[in-house]
Amino acid sequence: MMVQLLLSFLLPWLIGLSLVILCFRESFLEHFILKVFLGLGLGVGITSSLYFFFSLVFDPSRSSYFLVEGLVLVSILILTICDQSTRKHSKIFPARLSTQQIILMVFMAVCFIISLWTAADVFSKYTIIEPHGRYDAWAIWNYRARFIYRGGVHWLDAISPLQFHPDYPLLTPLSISRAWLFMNDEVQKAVILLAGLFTFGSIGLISAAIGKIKSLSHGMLAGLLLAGTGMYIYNGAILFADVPQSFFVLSAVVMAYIAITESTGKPGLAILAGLSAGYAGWVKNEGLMFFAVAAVVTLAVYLISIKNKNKPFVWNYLAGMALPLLTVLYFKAILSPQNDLINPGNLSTIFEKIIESQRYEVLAREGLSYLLAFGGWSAPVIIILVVFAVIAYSSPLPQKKVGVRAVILMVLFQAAGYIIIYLITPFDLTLHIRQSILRLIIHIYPAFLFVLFLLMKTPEQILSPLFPALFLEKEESG
Amino acid sequence: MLFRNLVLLAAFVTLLIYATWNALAYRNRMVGGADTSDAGNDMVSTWDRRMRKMLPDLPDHGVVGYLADWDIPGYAYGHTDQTVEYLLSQYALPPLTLQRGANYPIIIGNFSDTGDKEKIPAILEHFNLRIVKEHTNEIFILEADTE
Repeated sequence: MMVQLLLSFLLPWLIGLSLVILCFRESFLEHFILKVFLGLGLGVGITSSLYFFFSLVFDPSRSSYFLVEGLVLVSILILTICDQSTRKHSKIFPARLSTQQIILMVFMAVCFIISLWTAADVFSKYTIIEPHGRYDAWAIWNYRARFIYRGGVHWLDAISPLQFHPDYPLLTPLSISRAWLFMNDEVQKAVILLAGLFTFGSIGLISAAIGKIKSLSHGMLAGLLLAGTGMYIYNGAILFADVPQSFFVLSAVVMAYIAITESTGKPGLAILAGLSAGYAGWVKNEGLMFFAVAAVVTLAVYLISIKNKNKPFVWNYLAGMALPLLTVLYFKAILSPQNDLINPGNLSTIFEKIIESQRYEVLAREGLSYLLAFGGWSAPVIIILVVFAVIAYSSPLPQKKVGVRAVILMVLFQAAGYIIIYLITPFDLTLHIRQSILRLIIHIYPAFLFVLFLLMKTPEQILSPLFPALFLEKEESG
Repeated sequence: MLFRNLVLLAAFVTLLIYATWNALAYRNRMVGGADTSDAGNDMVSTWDRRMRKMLPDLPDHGVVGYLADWDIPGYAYGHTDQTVEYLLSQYALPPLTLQRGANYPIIIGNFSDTGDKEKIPAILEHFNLRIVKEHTNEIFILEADTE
């Protein structure tokens, strides 16, 4: 069964990986780990869209759906293989390392592996003890997956107005149902595997992205910190959709940075950036706001700041967004009713809430207390990270500044959007904050880590004044 | 300059060790003594197994009513328990949509067994229902008694 379970996610991964390799337009071995993790999330996103439209036309219980996936995979694979045959497979391994570099790498790797092991242990034990997860998992996400899998032609009952929050996007329920269809059985381990893929996929993605952009040891430090943030791992293990949401936010931020800073001659990077941002809007409603934030910031920063514009960038970005945008629009405009959070009444009510000073006091008090409690460390993890980033600040290279500016704005605007939602919420403000803020922090935490790590000196840069042999050519910051 | 470099080095080493230590501490605190020998007998799995046995006897889709202790006039019940059981029953029974109330062609009855032999007949009489199938001594499939 385990093999069948793994195979159920192999097709999405291969689709995502092939597309990422195709879009990067370089030897597939270069930055392969980054491509593996990007491909994983994007593949799950793409197949959720395919399964969604297939289910609308036919019904979700037909295993002939996998022919569609197979066709898509073969098409992308052919394009990728053709493209790869023209690529020169350059040397991908770094130059010979000095003894100090090896010692640093080993030390970082040991800490990273310990952190990863604790994360794996927490995740596996929680999912053994509570295989159906906590409340949101079984009352919303898995509940909906069961409707889709069991419902046949009546699968849209999953989002009928009689259901609780019928407007919630369907990426996770569809992906779970799709895995069950592949296995021809409702195996709870598929739900756990999907949660694990996103939880450990986020760790892998941030490590690989920082590893590509800055240095391998810096990437390991970023991954270590994410794996070591117990609350993040716990949220993944209880099978909520917040960790998958955070994966797509991170993926969109990473790809926006790479696309803005490296898009010359690689138009596919903008496609991947658009695709990642789009799928951030197909996991949870909060992601819809990020979808808009990411698109506006990426395109605005690119158009305003880049002097030698690569004209197709905007079109490629929009083309990348097309499939997730179509999926979300069809779902939101035609199938599901209005979001209860952004239907608080008339404009004067919203205005009254915005100018009410007491709401700001409540928000500041509650927000700060949860921000300090976040992480599961013995001290506030976010404060520690910000202090370290200030101490180890390193100004980005001029050619990277635009990319850094874009990703900072994305994280800040998303956080600001959450604050505005709280200000105008139709529910009791204190209760609403208490019930949701930790999960909202989780959405942007990996992306926040990514931004901090872009602004920090790498371990090599920190150690190089004391051990000059550590200085690497790859360093990007001044 | 040397002082700044040393501060930076100290901060880096501290962060690295502190982060690793916290990861270990969180693991020990949260699952260090976790007992996984009872796997599969958690509340959700147990309720799920119990309720989903009814699926073959129910319609293949649509809305089904749900009655429980909280619907019995004057009956003492724990609100949280009743809510959790209702939500867990909903989770077990897709593609059926469970709605509270007796005004549906088919109704699921979930009544705690208190040893009172008059309890179920009184409920049936009050709501004008009859038992279609008794799944356990607490779980029933009911329908309107038209006779």
